[in-house]
Amino acid sequence: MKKLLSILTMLVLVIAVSVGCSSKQQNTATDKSDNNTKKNADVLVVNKDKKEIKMFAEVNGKYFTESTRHGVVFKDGSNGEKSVLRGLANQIDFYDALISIGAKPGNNIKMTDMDKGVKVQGSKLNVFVTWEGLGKEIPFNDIISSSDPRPMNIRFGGNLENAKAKNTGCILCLDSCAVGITSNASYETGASKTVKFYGKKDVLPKDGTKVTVIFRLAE
Amino acid sequence: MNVFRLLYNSFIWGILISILAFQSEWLEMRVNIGVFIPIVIVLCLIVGTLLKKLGKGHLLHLNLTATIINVIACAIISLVVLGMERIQVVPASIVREGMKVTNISFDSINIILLLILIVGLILCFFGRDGIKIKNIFRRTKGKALCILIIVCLYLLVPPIKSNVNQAISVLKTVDVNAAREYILSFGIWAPVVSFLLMILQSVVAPLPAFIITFANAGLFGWVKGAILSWSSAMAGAALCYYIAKLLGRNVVQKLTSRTALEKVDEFFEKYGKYAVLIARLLPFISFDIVSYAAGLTSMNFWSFFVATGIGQLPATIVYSYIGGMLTGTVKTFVIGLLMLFAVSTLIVLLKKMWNDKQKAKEIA
Repeated sequence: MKKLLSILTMLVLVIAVSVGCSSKQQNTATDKSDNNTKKNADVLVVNKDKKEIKMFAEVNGKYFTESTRHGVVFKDGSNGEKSVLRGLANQIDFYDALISIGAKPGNNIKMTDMDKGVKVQGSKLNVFVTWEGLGKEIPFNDIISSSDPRPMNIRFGGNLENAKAKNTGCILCLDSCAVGITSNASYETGASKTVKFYGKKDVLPKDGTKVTVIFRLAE
Repeated sequence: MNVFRLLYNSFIWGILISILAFQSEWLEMRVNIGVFIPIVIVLCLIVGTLLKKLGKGHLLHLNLTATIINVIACAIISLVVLGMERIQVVPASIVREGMKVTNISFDSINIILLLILIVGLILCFFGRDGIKIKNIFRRTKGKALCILIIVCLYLLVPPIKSNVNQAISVLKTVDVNAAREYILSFGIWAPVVSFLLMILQSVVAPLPAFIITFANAGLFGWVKGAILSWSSAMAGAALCYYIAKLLGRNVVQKLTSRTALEKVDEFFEKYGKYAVLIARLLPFISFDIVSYAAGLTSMNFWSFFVATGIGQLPATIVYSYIGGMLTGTVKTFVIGLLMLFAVSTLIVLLKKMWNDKQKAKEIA
């Protein structure tokens, strides 16, 4: 028992160290901004000529059987595990990328509008998904099933301040949203309380597969 | 009250409660459901401790029958709530989100959960109501079973095999930067991974420990890095000591003569802590070999543990503080200083041996 206590004491010590170490690590990570910029360039590719942004993401197989209102969320956001696709680029860089290709944010939804049935405004985006071996791009609409199917209408909602404040990581929401950088204007705010969205298991590759999400500014 | 059985049962309850909480879409969208598991375990431990202090530990008496019924009942409830398709995904996704390990597949997590359930239930056979674990491992079959379980875990659980292989390949490169990048790639789990790496290098003796010590200092600062390196090396040393004691002592008894072993045992009982302390201070003596060797003797665990703790402290602090700058004259100076400490300890040891010998002569 005493020997077990000694090992447990050491484990507690390590946990205590790790609590402190995590904050040090965050500082270390913040200091290495050059590295972060480089790494982000690997997961977010902007083509200003084509007015297109490619973002790498991973399939989250949980939402083949469970419903969600999140299409794409940055993995390190608080909602990182709550979306059909786990985005590898963060929402702030994604916002900046959309601005750089000439998209205009709607910024028409406040937090108080989230249960008032408001539809998101902003530049229209055509969104596609592809992955290795598929050989083509398929519309984002085709990877999501809904209990109330409607054609997808993705808009650049903006919401930069809310996105920074909440840090949910939301990149593409499946109904209109005051936090997501882009969201689906086909469904008004609060629609997800009654409408269920799922990832299509027969269309998407298996859980964990890397995919590319392509956002193109619609003419 | 059997602590292991309480831990095991509260883990089962934690899984069930998190599955039930998962059913609330409102909660699932807003909360990391995985945290329910450790919360339930901690609460059960607190309640168990309080009940025991109040003399009512029997209320939470989880004998073998109660444990089996608990496992079956929780499994049935989970199956009814989730159905066959969702039960293959939901518990694994809860654990994955709780531990923030997104690169492990549901299948691998399900295998690990199943192993925990089965092995935990088997271990629940041991304890006050049944066979004692240490008696099992005294016999050859028990030792073989232990080795077989470890080998099977390595061969049959892909995440364990791939992570162990990757860790060994990183350490084999003897590259501090590679070790740092590897540890840092685990995000918030970096300190835990570093701890486990140090234990791995203790067990697999040829792998170098100073790489991990340098990496810890670079990642966490020299003070926190030194604490992490020191504590993880202590855990590794204890593990090596017990591996040798459980698996090797009988072999040593068969390979050596009774008289020689009695002499060695006598030496280590009296002076073992000095010998370990000297060995720890000298940087060119393998840390892991000393731990294994101590376990083969009859040296008391606490003497070994304290001597290891004190002996490895100067080197750990120096390696952490100076790190990669330990070259040239600095290196010579530091090694000279450590040898000075070792020689001083040797002098104390020899004096003690001399005094003991004189006392024995006087008594005779």
